[in-house]
Amino acid sequence: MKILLRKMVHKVRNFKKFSLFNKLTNWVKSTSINIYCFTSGCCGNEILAILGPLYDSERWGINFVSSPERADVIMVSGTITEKMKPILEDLYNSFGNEKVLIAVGSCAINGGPFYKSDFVLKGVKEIFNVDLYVPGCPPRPEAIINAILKYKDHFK
Amino acid sequence: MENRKIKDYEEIEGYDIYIEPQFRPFGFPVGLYIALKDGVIINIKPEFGYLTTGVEKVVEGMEIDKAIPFIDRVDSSSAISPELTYCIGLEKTFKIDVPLRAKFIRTALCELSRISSHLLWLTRLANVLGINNALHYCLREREEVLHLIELATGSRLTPNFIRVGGVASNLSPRFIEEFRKFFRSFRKNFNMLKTFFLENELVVNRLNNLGVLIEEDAKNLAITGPNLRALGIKKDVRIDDTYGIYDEISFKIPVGEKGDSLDRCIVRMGEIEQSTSIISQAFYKMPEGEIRTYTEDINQFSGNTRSHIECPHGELAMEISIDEGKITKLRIKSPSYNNLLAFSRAVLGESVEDVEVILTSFDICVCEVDK
Repeated sequence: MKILLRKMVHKVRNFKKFSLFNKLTNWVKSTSINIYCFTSGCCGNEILAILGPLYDSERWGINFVSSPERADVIMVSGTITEKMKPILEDLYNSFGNEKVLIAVGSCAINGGPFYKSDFVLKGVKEIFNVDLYVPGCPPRPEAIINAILKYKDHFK
Repeated sequence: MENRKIKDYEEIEGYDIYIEPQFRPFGFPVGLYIALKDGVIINIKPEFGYLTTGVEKVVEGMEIDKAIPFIDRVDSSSAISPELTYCIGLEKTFKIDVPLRAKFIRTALCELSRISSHLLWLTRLANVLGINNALHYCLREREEVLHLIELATGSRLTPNFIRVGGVASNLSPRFIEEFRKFFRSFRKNFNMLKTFFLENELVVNRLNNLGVLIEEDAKNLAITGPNLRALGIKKDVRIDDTYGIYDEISFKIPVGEKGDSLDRCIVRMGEIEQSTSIISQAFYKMPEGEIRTYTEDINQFSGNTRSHIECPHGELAMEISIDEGKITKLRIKSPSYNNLLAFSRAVLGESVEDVEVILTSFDICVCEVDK
């Protein structure tokens, strides 16, 4: 029975990988994308500006969601300290199977101006695999939007 | 899930609810331990320190001019105010004369960043209260203010603009053109924003008598800024201990009555109006001339300074000691830290649903709290 079950599970997984189902999810992700935002510091203010009428992010299908379970992408911005590390790890684990992480701002990339400080981690790359970097201190809203759009094109 | 230290949270006795720091979107990492009795909050303990960068330590050993971009990052919503505190203190003790035009440019930019900071606070309040149309109108006005700051300084949030003895660059003619356009539309648009908050029954009834801060607590915790003025106490560093050109300009200080969330809203709305009038007066009186006095022996300075200014959150103070042109010690007294403690007193006796509204009504900048 166990062997049969394993074969079944293997078949289902393969079905997900190379089938219409996968194509469908990719098509959905290429048109609208859900983002969970983990912010701290001044980069958070710039991400808030994306929501506004000038940079109106929803016309490209960029939605911000409030729980990591529903998100396609996790966006980490601002300084990450030693005290913040367990919380971020917890968030990353509760995130879905295909984990995608965008690091926004020079603090999240390599520690930024405070790389000498004892409390600050030298970037998110110390803990997790990072897919996209958005440089700047803080980056302009156009740069953040551009990064998300490039990520969306990856699915087409 | 293995990495999470659940045991640490459970060990603290006497608290029922823990609101985690990542719960609050867009830059607000403060954890809250809440103790309840019959649905009413009897004790609250804020957990902060998630953003500790150690600016005071990083800056040690640096030259005077090189430290300015680091001091920028102390305040995320109006970065020009810590710069000004730092430069004013050094100019006072080392007796450097600042040209009059530079002083006018400084005050104009400070008031612009005060407007942008208060508008950011309004967007956060609208977000918490759930008024989505007001949120978008607030962000539209804020973008226009940030565009002006960018034209003058070159950056939206972290200007790195003020130097010891003046400012970094002169105002361009395009800035003054754009400012006139902005000024015509802003008063009309801001009156519309007021109707969203102060003439809306749902908002007024929600904020009225919510999170009242007692005068005794305010004095014990050394609260400054708009949160103190909402109690009806007229205290402002711009008038009590003037700096720059504030003594040449006439402006009022808006004051509340009770010290509840609605009064805090009214006071900040009034401050935005007053700072627009300050900017218009500053541009009207602004003289031509130099913008910076260069001092060659800046590398031989040594001594201790102390200075304070009125930043959008309250009174920001700094103590700097310098030895042969290099910083040996820096100490920052930030108003947001006191505001966070004041929140933990004001929230007592309210229900759990109102915690977020009261927390945003105090205008706490977490970068300032943790430094």
